[in-house]
Amino acid sequence: MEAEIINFLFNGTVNGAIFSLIALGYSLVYGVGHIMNLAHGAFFMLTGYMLLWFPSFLPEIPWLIATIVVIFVTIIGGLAYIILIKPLQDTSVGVVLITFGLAFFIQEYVFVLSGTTPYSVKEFKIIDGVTKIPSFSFINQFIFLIFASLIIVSVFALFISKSKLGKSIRAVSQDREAASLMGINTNRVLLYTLMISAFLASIAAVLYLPAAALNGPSMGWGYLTNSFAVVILGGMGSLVGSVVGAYIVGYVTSFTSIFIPNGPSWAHLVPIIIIVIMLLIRPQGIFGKKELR
Amino acid sequence: MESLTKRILAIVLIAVIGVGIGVGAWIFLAAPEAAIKYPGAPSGFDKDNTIVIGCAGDTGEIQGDANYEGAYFACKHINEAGGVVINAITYYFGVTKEDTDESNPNLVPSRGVDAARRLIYDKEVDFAVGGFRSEALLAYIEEFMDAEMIFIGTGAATDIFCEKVNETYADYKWFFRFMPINSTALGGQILYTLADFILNINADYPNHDVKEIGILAEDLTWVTSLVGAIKDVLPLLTGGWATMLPEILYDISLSATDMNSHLADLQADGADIVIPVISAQGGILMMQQYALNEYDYLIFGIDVQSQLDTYWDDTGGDCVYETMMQTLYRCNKTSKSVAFWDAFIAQFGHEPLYIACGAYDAVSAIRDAVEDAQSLDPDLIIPVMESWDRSNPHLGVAGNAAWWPNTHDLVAGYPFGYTLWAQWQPGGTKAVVPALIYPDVGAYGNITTGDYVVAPWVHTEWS
Repeated sequence: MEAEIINFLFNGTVNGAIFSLIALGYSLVYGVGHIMNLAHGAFFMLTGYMLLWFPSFLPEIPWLIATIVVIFVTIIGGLAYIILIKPLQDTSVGVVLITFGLAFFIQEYVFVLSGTTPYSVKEFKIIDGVTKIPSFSFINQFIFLIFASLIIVSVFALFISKSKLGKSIRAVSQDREAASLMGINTNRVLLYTLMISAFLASIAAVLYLPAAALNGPSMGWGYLTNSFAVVILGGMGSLVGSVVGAYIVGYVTSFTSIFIPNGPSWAHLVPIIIIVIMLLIRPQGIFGKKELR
Repeated sequence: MESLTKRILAIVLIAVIGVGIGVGAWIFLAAPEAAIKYPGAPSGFDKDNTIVIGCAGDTGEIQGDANYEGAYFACKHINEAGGVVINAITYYFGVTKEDTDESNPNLVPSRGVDAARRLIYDKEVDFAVGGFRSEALLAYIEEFMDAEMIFIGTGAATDIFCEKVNETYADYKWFFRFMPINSTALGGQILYTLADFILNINADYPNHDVKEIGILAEDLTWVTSLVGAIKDVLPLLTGGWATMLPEILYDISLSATDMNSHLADLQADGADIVIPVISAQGGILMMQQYALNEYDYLIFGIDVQSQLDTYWDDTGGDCVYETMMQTLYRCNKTSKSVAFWDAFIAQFGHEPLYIACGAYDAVSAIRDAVEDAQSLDPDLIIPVMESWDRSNPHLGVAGNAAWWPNTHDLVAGYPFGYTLWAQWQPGGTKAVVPALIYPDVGAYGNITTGDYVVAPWVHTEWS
C-alpha cells in the first residue's frame, strides 16, 4: 500500500507538471485573445517527432537539436497566428475550425512521414537513470521535469507581472479595445502570445517525451483534452487556475488509474467527466472570472 | 509590420505550393503501389488468366505492409515456378492492397469496410487475405462474406471469427484463419510454457519463490479470452504454486507515466513474472520504463512490435531480456522455414513479421487448393481446404495448417499451429529459447537457438 501511495503521488505530480506547462499556454491564448487553439496538442506532438527527425540532418548534439526544435515550433505557432488565426479572429467558430484543421494537417503530415509506429527519443534525456528507495523507483528525468515545470511556471508568472510585454498581455487580456486605444499593438501581443503558448507546449514535450515515447501522431489530442479539462476546471484564462487545475487533474487521473477497479481504462474518461461537470455547475471554473464566450 | 506580414505570407505561400507539389508527386509516384502487380510472372502473359489476391491491411504500418509483403512474396514464388495450371490454362498470381487503417489507435472501422469494398468491387480480386485488429475485421469481414469470397485471416487472433464459421457455416464458410492460432490457444501455449518455466526457474533460485504472476494487457477484444484462460488455468497447471495478481487492462492511448505507474504497481504487488498481452504501441513504453527502472520481475508474454528486427533500435536497446511469442525466427520450425527466412530477408531487407508468414502460407495454400480443385469456384475450393486436417496438414513456412472440424480455425500445438518463444539478448541478438510446447530436437532438427537469460538485476535480487 505504501508503494501504491508513493506511485500515486509521484505519477500524479508528474502528470500535474506536464499538464500545467501545456495548459498554461492554452489558457493564456484563450485569456488574451479568446482564441480556442485546437492545434495546441499538435505543437506538443510535433516537437517530439522533430526530435526524432532532426538528428539525421544535424550533428548529434542533443541540447542544440532540442533548442532548434523549440525555436522552430515557436515560429510555427507565430505563423499559425499570422496566416490562419488572425484573419479569422473575430469569429470564434472560424478560429476553432481553422485550428482544428491545422491540428489534423500536422497529424497527417507526421503520419505520412513516420506512421503510427512508436519511437524512443531517449537520447534527449537531460538526466538519465532512476533514484531508488526500497519500495519505489523515481525516474530522474521526471524528477527534473517536476522542478523544471515549477521554475518555468514561476518565471512565466514573473514575466507576465513584471515585464513590459507581460503587462501588455495583461492589458489586452483585460480589455483589448482599451489596450489598443492606449497604443498597444494588440495584434502583435496576440502574435507573441501564440508564440509563447507554442513555446510552452514545445518545452513540455522536450522535458517529457525523452523519458516517455512517441506514441503515434494522434497523441496530441490526449494532451489537448487534458488541457481542456485543466483550464475548464481552473478557469478559462486564469493562469493560477491552470496550474492548480493541472495538478488536480493529474492527481485524479493517477488516483483513478491506481486505486479504482479497471482504473487504467477509466482514467482516460476522467478529463471528460471533469469538463462535463464543470461546464454544468460552474462554467467559469474555480478561479475564472470571465464567462465562457 | 504590414509589409513584413505580406512578405512572410508570400514566403509561406511559396512553401505551401512547394509542399503541395511534393505531396502531389508523392501521391502520383505512390499510386502504382495500389495497382495490381504480378511479381515473377513472365512478360507477355495473358492478363485474362490471372488470380488476384487482395490484401486488406493498414498499409504504411508494419502489420499491413507485412501482409502485403507475405502475399507478394508468395505470388512471386508461384509465378516464378510457372503459376498454376487449371484445365490446361496457366494462371499467374497478381497481388494488390487496400488500406484499412486498422493499426490506428483511433480506429475508424468504416475505413476497413471501404477498403474491402474497393478490393471486391473496384479491383475485383479473386481471394483476399489480411486482418489485424479484431475490432476492424469484425466490420469488414462481412463485406467478403456477402461477396462470397474466400478471405484468409493472417493477423487477428480473436476466437469469434471461426466461432462464426462454426455457428453459421452458410454465412461464414468463406473465412479461414492461417495466422495466428486463436486467442484461447495462444493463452494455452502461454500457460504451458509459463507453468513449465515457473517450475524450472524456481529450481534455479532456491532463495526466492517465483510465484506471483501479473498480467499487463491492452483493453481490447482479442485479449479477453486469452487473459481469462491465463487467470483461470495457470494456478492449476502449477499445482496451485502460481498466484495471479489482479490483471491490469490499459487503454491503448496510455502515456509513459501511465505505463510506469502500472509497472510500479506490479512491482509493489510483488510480481515475479509479468505477462504482457500487447499488439499495439504499448510495448515500447513498457520496455523503456522496465529497463529504466530495472523492475524486479521478468517480462514474458506477447508483444507484437518486439517481433520486428527494428525493435532493438526503436527501443534504444531497452527491450533486452524481453521474452515473447514469436511466430517464426531463423530456425527449423518446419522444413521450409529457414529457406523462407533467408529468402525473405534477401528480398525485403528485414525479417518477416508473423503476418507476413501467415500471408505467405495463405497465398501458397490458395494456389494448392485451386490446383487441386481445378477451379476458381469457392464452392469447389473450400472442400479442398477443409480436407487439410491433422492427418493431412498443409505444410507452410510457419507451421502445418490443419483445421479443427467445422471451424476453419487452426489446430494448435506442435507440429501444427504453435509459436516460438524468443528473447532479446544483450547486443541486440534474439534467441529462440527452450519451451515445453515444442521439442528441443524436433522433426526437422533443432528449434531452439539459445538459452534463456535472466535479467541481471533480477538475478541479483533473487539470488
